[in-house]
Amino acid sequence: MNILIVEDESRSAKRLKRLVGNEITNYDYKIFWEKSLPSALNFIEKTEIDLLFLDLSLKGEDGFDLLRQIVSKPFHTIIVSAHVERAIEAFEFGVLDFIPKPIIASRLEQALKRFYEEQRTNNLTKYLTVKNKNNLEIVLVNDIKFLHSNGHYTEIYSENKSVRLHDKSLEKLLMILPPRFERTHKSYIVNMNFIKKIHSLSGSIYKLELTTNEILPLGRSRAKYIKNRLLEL
Amino acid sequence: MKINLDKNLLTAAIILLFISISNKAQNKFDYYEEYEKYQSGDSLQWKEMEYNDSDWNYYINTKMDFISSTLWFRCKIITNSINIPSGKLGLSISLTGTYQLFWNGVYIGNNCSNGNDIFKNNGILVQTLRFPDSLKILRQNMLAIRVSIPDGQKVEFPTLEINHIDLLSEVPTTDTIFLLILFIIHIMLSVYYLKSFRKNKFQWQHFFFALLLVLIALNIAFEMIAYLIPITYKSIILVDRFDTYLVFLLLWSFPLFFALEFNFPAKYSALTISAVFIFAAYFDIDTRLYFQVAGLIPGIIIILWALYKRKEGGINAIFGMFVFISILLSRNDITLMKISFMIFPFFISISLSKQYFRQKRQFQITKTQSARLESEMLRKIIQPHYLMNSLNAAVEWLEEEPQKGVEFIQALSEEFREFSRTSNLKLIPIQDEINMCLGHLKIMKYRQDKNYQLFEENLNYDRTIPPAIFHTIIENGITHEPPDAENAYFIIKEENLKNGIRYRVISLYASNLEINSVKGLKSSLLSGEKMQSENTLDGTGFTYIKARLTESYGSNWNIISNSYDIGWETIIEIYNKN
Repeated sequence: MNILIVEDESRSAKRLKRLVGNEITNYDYKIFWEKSLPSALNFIEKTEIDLLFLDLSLKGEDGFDLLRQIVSKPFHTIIVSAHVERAIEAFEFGVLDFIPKPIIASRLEQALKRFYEEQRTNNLTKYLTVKNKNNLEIVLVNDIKFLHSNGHYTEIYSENKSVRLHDKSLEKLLMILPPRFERTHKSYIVNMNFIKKIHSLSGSIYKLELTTNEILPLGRSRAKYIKNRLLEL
Repeated sequence: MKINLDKNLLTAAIILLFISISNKAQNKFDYYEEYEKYQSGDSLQWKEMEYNDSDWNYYINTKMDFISSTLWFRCKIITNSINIPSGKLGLSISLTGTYQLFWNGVYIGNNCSNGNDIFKNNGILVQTLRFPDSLKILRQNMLAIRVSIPDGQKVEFPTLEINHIDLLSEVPTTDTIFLLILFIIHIMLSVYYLKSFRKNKFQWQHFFFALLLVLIALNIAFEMIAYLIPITYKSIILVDRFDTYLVFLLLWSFPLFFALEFNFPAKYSALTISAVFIFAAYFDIDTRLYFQVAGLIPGIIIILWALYKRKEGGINAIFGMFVFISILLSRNDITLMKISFMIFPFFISISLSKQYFRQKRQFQITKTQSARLESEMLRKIIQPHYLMNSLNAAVEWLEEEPQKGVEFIQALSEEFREFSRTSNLKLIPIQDEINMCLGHLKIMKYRQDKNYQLFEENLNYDRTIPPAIFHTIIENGITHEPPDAENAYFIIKEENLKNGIRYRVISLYASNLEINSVKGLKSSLLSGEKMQSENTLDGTGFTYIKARLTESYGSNWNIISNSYDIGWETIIEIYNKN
């Protein structure tokens, strides 16, 4: 597993490196350290990483510009920052977690645990960003009807929009989507606000009918759970 | 508020003034003086109505020569109010000398302080006497006055008023009321300005103006004194002499006030010339009046200069001067001239008030700005990026190498202590600022694991500088360090300018350079290529620096930033006040 730390202060980077090292005991891992946003982007182009620790204010630059690009990537991002006021904004863009400075081991432990256990850590996400040829497109989470897995990528289906492709896997996206998004099938995540009806067919086959008329498969093992969730809403 | 109370009293006084002037209309006894004549010598025949005084001299308002020390005045009074019983009428008179009064040949009174002999007595200057019941008021009347004048005393025609006794006896003449009110106004204004000066020590003009007003008030008091208490003319001579010196002081105070207010360059010479001029005038009795006017010339010159230089308050002063001189030239009356001094205060008051409020506002703004700078400086060390990153590094050191952790915490405490101590100061010794910079570098060493160094060159430790200026530049220098720089070196150099002082704060970044000495650093910098130059820096750090420089030096400073391929240079110039 490749972990990248983007941090301009030496001692802070050392701390993160050391504490992450203490936490990860079951995996082979490598920790890389870049001191600036441009060098970090460069690194990401060349090396595949699994997790990113990003400090939002590097050398007075605004890390948010980078953040919007970064969240479109296949890996998850954990923000480590002194500026707690921007935490919510970061969450809205779909980061996995936010660790304030000074970094306390227990807090980092918690974040890494969520990462490994693929816990759903963020229910504040409002936007997903999608790389579209050479520009970045912002996808409003509220408008997403459903998502469909396509190999390593995920297709995003939004109301009144053409299909968009996200670099993160379905599992990864689930971790940062709000609670009303549920895994309905091994290949589908559906926004329950768009579910009109559950169709129960013979042979324990279930289908979901959306308000926008699409019919999607509903996994047998998930049917009961989805039914209950719908009753809650 | 006390100030409002004074203003109300002032307004009341002004209203009284107008009322008192309008009193004149209430003069029940309607008369006019057909002529006023005089003759030196002494003869009781001259009291008679029918006496032929056609060869007598008309009284003209200039000094008169006389041969003897006794003379007679004859004043023809024409009236239509012949039906008012004479017992209800009276005469109010002011005359320098001891005299006897005759109405239509009838003796009606004297002003001797003791007895009846005008040649052996001092006379009371101002008197009111009631006409005897038996006195006849005709359409044409003759008032004859037999006067004994002390040697060397100038002759002046008496000031007379004939009116209903009730209107005369209790109350002095309307002119006196006018003077009384003027006196009160001046005293009140003087008190107001003295209080204002006590409250605001920076307004010294208020103190001088208050003094000026007191002098004018005293002058007015001397004018009035004869009307208020029965004072003999011998005493009046003394009072008059004192008043002469007072007027001298007053005439000299005007150019003094203006010279100070407008900051006239040749203050001392102007005031000395003015003093000589005025003093000389008092030896020449003949043309005293004109020299008093001439004595104002230094004042006029100063005011004109102030106008030319567009100084604040110049227009007010010139108005005052203009009105003053107009009165002077239109009425050749010394008394009036003395009264006319009061014209100035009103005009000067206006400009003083404007000035005061402008300065007070400026004072408040400066105070607010200083408070803001204090909090901005403190915010530097508590803002999250700085504080949390420091604490993050501190926790790391404490966990890894506790001893170093403790040292780091000590370095942080020292910085907090120094900032708390100096944030509310406008200037601190250069040594303290350098210590703060060194403290900061120590902290950053623990955070960045680099060995930052500071070199001083040519610094004069007697100088002072606003707090956290070098500190901010060095802080910026570290923040903008290129990521691949292995280390950073800082140099603070002082250079003398013809008109001030220059500080260069240089940040040099070493990647592959081996830098050992300051000389080596200097030449490295000069050989490097200048990449960009700015002197309109607007980053938040520079906003603070500019505000601090303005706080202490006004607009007498400049700041330039140059960037080179191997570093930054920030130049701060502070100029001498000129």
